[in-house]
Amino acid sequence: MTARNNTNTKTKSTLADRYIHTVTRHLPTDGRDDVARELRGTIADAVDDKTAGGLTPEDAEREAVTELGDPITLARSYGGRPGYLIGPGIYPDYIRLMRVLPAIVLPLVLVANFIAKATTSDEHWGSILLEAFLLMLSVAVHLAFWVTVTFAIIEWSRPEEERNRPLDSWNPDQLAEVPGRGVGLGETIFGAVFAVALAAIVAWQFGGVGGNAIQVLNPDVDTVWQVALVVLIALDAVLAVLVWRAGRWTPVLAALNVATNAASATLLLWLLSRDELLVADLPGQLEEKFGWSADWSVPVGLVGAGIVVVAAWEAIDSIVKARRDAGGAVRS
Amino acid sequence: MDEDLIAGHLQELRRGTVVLACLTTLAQPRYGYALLETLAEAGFAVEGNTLYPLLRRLEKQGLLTSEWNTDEARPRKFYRVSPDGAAVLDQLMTEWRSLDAAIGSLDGAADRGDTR
Repeated sequence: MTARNNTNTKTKSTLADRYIHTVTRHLPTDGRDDVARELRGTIADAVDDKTAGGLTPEDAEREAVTELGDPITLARSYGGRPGYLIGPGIYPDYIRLMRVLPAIVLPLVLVANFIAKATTSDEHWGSILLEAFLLMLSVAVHLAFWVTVTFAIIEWSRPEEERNRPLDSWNPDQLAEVPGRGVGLGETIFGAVFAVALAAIVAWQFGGVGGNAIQVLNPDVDTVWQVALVVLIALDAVLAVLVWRAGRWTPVLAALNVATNAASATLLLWLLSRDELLVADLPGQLEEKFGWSADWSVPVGLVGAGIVVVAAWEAIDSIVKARRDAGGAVRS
Repeated sequence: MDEDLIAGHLQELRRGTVVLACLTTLAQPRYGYALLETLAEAGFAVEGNTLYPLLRRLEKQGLLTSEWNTDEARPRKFYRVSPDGAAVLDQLMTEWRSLDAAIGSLDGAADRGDTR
C-alpha cells in the first residue's frame, strides 16, 4: 500500500516538485536539501489527507500547494534573502546619508569643475556652466546608486536575526536643529559655495577672460576696486560659516552682512555711474557670439536697480532672521 | 466593524503564542504535519507556511532537536523540545500567566469604574 502510494505520488508530483524547487532555489545551499525533503513529506501527507476526504489526487495536490502560498514568501520565512533592498532597520541611516552626502559632494564637484574649466579652457562660460550642471547630475545619480547598492549589500549580508536592527544604536546627538531656529548645514554650504563661486567668476572676469569667453565686467577697473569687490563678495562665504557656527543670525552678524552688502552695492553703483563697471562693447560681443543685433545699449538704470534689489534683499533677509531668532535664543 | 481590522489585531495577538503552543506540544516528538493537525484539533489553527519555517528557526536557536525517521516509506523529520527549549518554555509560560492575570485585573478595574 505504501509502496503503491509512493509511486502514485511520484508520477503525479510535478506540481509539488515545481513548488519545492522554487522554494529551495531561494535558500542558502546548506540546509536546502533538508528543507526540500521535509516539504516533500509534508505536502505528501496533506495530499493523502485530502484524497481520503474525497478529492482527486490532482485537486488534492493543487490545494495542498495553494495552502502553502507563494513559494518565494515561504523561502523568505525559511531564512532566504529578504524581499526588499533596504529594510526598516537601516532605512533611517540610508536616508540620513542620502541627505548629507549630496549636500557636501555636489557643491564641491560643481565649484571644482567650474574653477578647473574656467582657468584652463577658453570655452564659453555658458557651456562651462551647462557642463558643470550635467556633471553634477551624473554625480548625483552615481551617488544615489552606489549608496543604495552599498546599503542593499549590507542588508542582504546580515544574519536574519539582525535584519530589523539598526547598524549603530541611535543617540541624541543626531537630532537635527528645529527648522526656523538654527541654521541648516545645507543652507550654509549652499550660501558659502555660492559666494565663493560668485567671487571666483568676478575675479576671472576682472582678470580678462580671453579666448572665446564673453567679457562682461571691465578688466580696466582700478585694481583696488577689483580686489575690494572680490573680497566683499567672498566675505559672504565667511559670514555664512560664522552664522552656522553661531547657530543663528546674531545682531552683530546681521549688521556685518548689511555693511558688506551696502559697501559692495555702493561700489558697484559708483562704478556703473562712471561707465567703468561693464565693458563698452558688450552688444558687439554678443552679436559676434550669438548673432544678436548689436543695435542696443546696456540699460544702466535696470542693472543699477538689479544691484540695489539683490543687496537690499540679502541685507533685509539677515535682519529679519536676526530679529526672529533673538526671541527664542539665549543672547551670548 | 471592519473585519480586516479585527483579523489584523487577532493575528498580532496570536503571533507570539505559536511558539508557546509548539514548545508545549513538542514535549512528545512530532513531525511538522502531525503537529499542525494536533494544534488544529486543540483549536489552535496555524498555517503550514508559518509553522514549518518556525520549527526550523527554533531548531536553529537550539530550543528544539530534530531527528529523521526513515523507518517508514515516507521519511519524516521529528522535532522535540531540548533542555534549553524546556527552560524557555517555563519562562514563556510564566509570562503568559502573569499577562493573563494582569489583563484580568485591568478588566476587573474597568468594570468597577476604577479609572485613575
